[in-house]
This record gives sequence, structure tokens and C-alpha cells, in this order.
Amino acid sequence: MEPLSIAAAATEAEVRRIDPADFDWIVTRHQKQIYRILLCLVRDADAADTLTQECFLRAFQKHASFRGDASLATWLVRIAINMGRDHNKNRRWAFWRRLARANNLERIPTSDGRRSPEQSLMDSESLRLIFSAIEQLSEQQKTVFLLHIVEEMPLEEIAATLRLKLGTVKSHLFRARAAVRNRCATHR
Amino acid sequence: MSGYNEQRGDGWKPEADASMQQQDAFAVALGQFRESMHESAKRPDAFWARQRVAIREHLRTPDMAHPINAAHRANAAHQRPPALIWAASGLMLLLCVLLFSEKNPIPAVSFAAGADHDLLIEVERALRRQCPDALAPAGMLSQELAADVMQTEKIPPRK
Repeated sequence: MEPLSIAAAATEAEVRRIDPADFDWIVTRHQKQIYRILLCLVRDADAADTLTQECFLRAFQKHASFRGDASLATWLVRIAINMGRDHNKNRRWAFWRRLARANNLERIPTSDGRRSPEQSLMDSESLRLIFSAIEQLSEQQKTVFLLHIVEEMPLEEIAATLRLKLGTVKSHLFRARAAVRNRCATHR
Repeated sequence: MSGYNEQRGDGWKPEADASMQQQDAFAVALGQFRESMHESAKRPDAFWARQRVAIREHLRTPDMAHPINAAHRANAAHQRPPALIWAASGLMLLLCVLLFSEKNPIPAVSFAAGADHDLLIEVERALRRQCPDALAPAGMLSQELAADVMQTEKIPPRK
């Protein structure tokens, strides 16, 4: 039997009675996706780990404000995206980090810290160009692009997550794809 | 795509074929990108378990200054010196550049001790003189004229 979840809570009283043990189940179910999204946004494994924990803590602290107008996953992803953006804004050396990331694709470690075949795959020129192009996108375009390409999230869900109109999401995705494609085509 | 005919009949354009190839290559690249990001985010089970334990521990002690935030803020503070220190450092650097710049050296002001003393002496001399220096040539001329007059008065007039 599934423990009581935020989304399943019918009344405010039930939401407030969520036990940390129930929340542990929510963490187990969503932590990998949240971590992956944050890793895409901040490009720092340690920061992604810290922000993932903070994301769930903030979600638990603010679960009373969850109105149920979106799915639990949508709500958690929204919190994670806001935290990732705040993290990128607060970093003083954001510019230099972007410059370093544009020239060094080895910042994102593999699971065991060593280079794997997949890491070697990242060395391909097309991936390098894609990473470089993504760094040039606006925050909204980058978020939409990553959610759609990496998380394979439907456009409607992206719109709900970012609280944007569907047309706006489509516009952001179109421009992001065009920018990335042009960059890949230009440098070939 | 306009101009592309699958049968490669009338209207077929080689450019359309190249464009399709580019589209395919781009789609493949995006797929590789997705796989690489998923692979990069993979962690052993121990990592996820540790993360859950950490979250559970912090939920048991709900505090605004909980260890994650405190550690994160401490780490962030260590990495981000206060703005005031950066501003002061930048100002000092600018002053050093200006002071030691060879192209536009800041003229050194002479603070020789004897300059004031010499000035006072000149002022005293000027006060003792019957006429200021600017009028010294006129004074000399007047003295010469006075001497001529005196000499003329001594010579009797011609009859």
C-alpha cells in the first residue's frame, strides 16, 4: 500500500499530517530525475547533489502550499529548476565557468569517476558543439530544450512546469533547436 | 519537404537530400546528447541511499539553519568573498595602476622645505624696497632723470 502522498491528500489537514517516512517514498521515486535535471542545469555534480537535497527539503517545508493543480513530479521539477537558476545566478564566476565548460566537456563525471565509453562518446565533435550551443541559449530556452530533449517531457507538461503558455514553450523550443542546429552546422 | 520527390522524379532537388541528411544527423546528435546526460547522471545505489538518509535526517531537525543550508552557505561564502572586499581590492588596484603608470605619471608635488623660506625672504625684500620689482626699471629711470636734473641745475645758463 502506498503511503499517503502529497498529490493524494484531499484536505489541508491531511497534507499537514504527512510524515517524513511517507516523504521518503517520494524522494525515492523522484530523486534521480531531480538530480539529473539539476546536473544538466548547473553542470556540477557536487552542487547538483546539494541542490537535490535542498529541493526535497524545500518541497517538504512548503508542501502545505501545494495546491494540487499540477502533478507532484511537475511541482518538484519546478522547484528544482528555480533552485538551479538561482544557483547559476548567484555564482560570481558564472561567466568563467561557462567559458570553461565550453572548452572542457570533462566536468561532468561518470558514475565511477573514470572515463567510460559513454564519456568517450561525449568527446565527439557534435556533442561538444551541442554543449557549447546550449550555453549560449537564454535561461528559458535552455530549460525548455533540456526538459524536452533530455527528460523527453511533453510540451504540455513543460508548459505546466514553467507556468508558460504552450505557444511560448513551442517558440522557445523552436528557437533553441534552431540555434543548436545552426551552431552544429556552422562548425562542421 | 518542398522540391523533394521520393521517387526522385520531376522536381527532385539534391539540396533537399542534403538537408534531410543534416536533419537526420542532428537528430542523431540530440539522441547522443540525451544518452550522455542520462549516463552522466547515473550513480550507484549507495549514492541514492546516502542522499535519502541525509534528507531524512534534516527533516527530523527542521531548522532554518539546517546543516545542508549552513554548509552550502559556508561553502558559498568561502567561494564568494564579500562584495566590499572585492570593491576595495579593485579600487586599490586602480590606484596602483594610476600611480605607477609611466605614460601618465602623476606629477610629484615638491614639498621642499626651503621653498617657503625663500618666498618669505623675497616678500621681505619687496617690502623693504621703496618700489616693487615690477616698477624697478621705472625706478632706475627716475633715478637717472633725477641725477640729470641735478647736474643741469649746477651748470649756469648760457647768456
